[in-house]
Amino acid sequence: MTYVEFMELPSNERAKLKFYEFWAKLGRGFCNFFISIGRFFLRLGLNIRKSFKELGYAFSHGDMWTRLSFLFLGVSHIRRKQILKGICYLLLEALFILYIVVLGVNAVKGLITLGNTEIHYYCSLDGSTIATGYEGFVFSDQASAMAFCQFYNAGNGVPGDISVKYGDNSSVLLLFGILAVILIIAFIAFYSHVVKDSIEVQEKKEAHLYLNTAFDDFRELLDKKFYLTLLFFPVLGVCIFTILPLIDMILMAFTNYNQSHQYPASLFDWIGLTNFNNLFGGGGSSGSIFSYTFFHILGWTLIWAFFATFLNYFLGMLLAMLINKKGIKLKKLWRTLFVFSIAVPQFVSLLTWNKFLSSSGFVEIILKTWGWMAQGDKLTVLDYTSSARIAIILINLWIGVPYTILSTSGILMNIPADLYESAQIDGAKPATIYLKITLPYILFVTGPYLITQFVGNINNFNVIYFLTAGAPTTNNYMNAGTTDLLVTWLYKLTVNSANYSYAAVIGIMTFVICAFFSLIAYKNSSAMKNEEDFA
Amino acid sequence: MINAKYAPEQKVLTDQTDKAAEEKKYHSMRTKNAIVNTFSYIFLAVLGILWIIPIFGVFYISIRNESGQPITLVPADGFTMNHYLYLLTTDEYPFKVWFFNTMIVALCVMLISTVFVLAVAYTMSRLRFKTRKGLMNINLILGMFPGFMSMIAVYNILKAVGIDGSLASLILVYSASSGMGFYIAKGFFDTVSKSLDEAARIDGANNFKVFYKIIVPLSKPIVVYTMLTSFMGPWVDYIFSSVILRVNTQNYTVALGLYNMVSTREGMNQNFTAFFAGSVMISIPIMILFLATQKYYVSGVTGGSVKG
Repeated sequence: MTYVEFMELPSNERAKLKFYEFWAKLGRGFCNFFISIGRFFLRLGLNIRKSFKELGYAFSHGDMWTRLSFLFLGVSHIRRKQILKGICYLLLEALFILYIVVLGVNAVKGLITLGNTEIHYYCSLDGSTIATGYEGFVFSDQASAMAFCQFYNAGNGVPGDISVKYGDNSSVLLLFGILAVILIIAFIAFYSHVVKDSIEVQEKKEAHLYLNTAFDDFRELLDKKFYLTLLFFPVLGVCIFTILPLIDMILMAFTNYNQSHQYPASLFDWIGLTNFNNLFGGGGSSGSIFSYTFFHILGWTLIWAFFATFLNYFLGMLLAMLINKKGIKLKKLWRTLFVFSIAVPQFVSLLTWNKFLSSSGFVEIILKTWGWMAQGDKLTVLDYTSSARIAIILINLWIGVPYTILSTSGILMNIPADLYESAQIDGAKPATIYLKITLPYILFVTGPYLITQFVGNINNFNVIYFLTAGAPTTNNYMNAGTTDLLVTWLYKLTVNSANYSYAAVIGIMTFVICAFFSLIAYKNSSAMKNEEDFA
Repeated sequence: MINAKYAPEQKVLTDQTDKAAEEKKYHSMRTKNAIVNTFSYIFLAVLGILWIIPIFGVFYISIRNESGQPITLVPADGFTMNHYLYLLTTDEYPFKVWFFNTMIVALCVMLISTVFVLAVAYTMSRLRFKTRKGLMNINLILGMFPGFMSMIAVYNILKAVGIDGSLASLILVYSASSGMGFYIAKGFFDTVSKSLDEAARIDGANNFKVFYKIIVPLSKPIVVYTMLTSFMGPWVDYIFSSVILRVNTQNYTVALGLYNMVSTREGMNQNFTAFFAGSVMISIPIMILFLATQKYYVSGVTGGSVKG
């Protein structure tokens, strides 16, 4: 259907079409998402197959030195006078083998078992070794060790004490196991790269082609391979401080790591999908309260993200437009006035709001001083779920609107002036100009931004944590209050109640939700990019 | 013919009436504009006051001559600057140490993250290599996980290495993954004309030279924006520092120290006004810095989103 045909339809037909199109696009986006995951693994498989082929080629066509490179990396390079490179490869291989022998094997074993030895208590005379003659009396809980010790002391008349032998720390084993697996995968990639390079070096030498010296290699790192230099440290940082912890936490979702299964008291173990089963209502009473809390908090999170995003957006845009309006003076002063609140740390300003609004806070004092509230009354805005939720959304305006003003005023200034001029010449009214030019233009430019904001608000930790900390609390929820978002609940589960496995499940679910909305943003923005230019 | 003869006259006539009508319209529009502007001013003023009151409130509480939460609008004992002095001189809370810690952490983080962000942004904007698209997609996916999810695991890693609770670990945590936030800077670099680097390359410059002799000097707004945002991070963050530093009071940052001063009911009664005095002290430098570099901030925020 062409654009003209589309515009000729009655407006309700157009809306219907737009609606269908939106869902179709979303569906297509979803399918594409899974297809691209499938394609990723397909490509991975093909690459692995290709690598094997190339390794086979290197073995069959290589000379003695190249074949020796299969065992000792870099020998081929050393033979062709790339000595520094070859020695580096050799050293790395030696380091890796050393790591595997000393730590790696145990680390992988630990990842599979997550620890075998539990904590032990026994009776001791000197505080470390087991009392002689009582080697068999080792207990897994403190109480029975204590009871036995008293009995032992009474029998011998010597002061004995209970001693502890700590067991395995499952969370450390998990972490180092993941690290070992990552290192092994990285080494395999490195190995195949070096071996392929070995045959290449040999062939170049045989063809009397120029081989890079060490100096050439360094120079290349500043030019053709400059991306390696630039990306090395940032990527290393992300790997250690984002990817490794993330994998660690994701895997925790498949264990029973919680308060009653943690170091040093006991081990935790793999339990498969039980936590997810609990999330969707299976698994008895503890599962059902978890599921109940999750779906209620999810509902509030989405409501919150919707209002926080759109109210901020429209109020911020309105203010930005007023400030940028022709004839309004002191533009800079107005902008600065609103932007001030960004410069105050959020934990200060939000705590201030909390103290203002809570009972016997500043607002209550003012209301009482002016006689608008009886002396005996209390301000209970933050004590009831619905009023607290409304207060949060309104106060978030105070936090968020300045950001919208900052980002939209730049866009407003960028709207081509000739659009307005031609509209004025055609006799358009201000309202028409707003609806037909300003709004579509801004929506066009900031559409993707809006959805990013929505996702950001799903993960908006500060506002909730510092303003209400999730209060008012309720017994129907599992370790959460009625204004908690998924992220603040996640935080509480990890920091306050050490329920890591459920926290990990919530983290994964939050990811799924964010990915869903980001997908919409991505789909829409790429569709818009094809239009190239709005005006 | 007749029509042609009369046509000019008619046109003059309509012109005159048009002019009168236009003048009238112009006057009515002016009054209308004035009314609209007055309403705009009132609207802006009311909201502006609403936006300023809490900030004023922070200052107002900090100079009240009492230690706990206010119970009257005007303090019974008048006003004082003693809370500021108290924080700077007391032995009970090492406020100066906290301030110094935060300064060190913020400067290091600023340096490392700015280098990281600019490096990644330049790579993604200008250089073409096999894994570029893949890395960008991975970054997109990683960004969708809530940041707090990995907090405990990060703590475990630091503990395993044995540097938990130190300032160095805090710097690492703040800056190590900063390369992931390259989008705004990349959007900005994309707008810098490519013919400039081509010209430099013809003159024999390598990629490294193009980066630090052409792209970085031309992107002053985004460099300042990146430095500013990364510098401000440690001053205002509470969560990560509380998880990483735990009980090591001497290594606290200002935000963590101040917040812990009022985290208990007792502390709330003792240090309430002192907390606000400390807040004012950390807010003022940030505010000055922010207002001085506001224009870079605006061009930084919008540069990426408009052209992105």
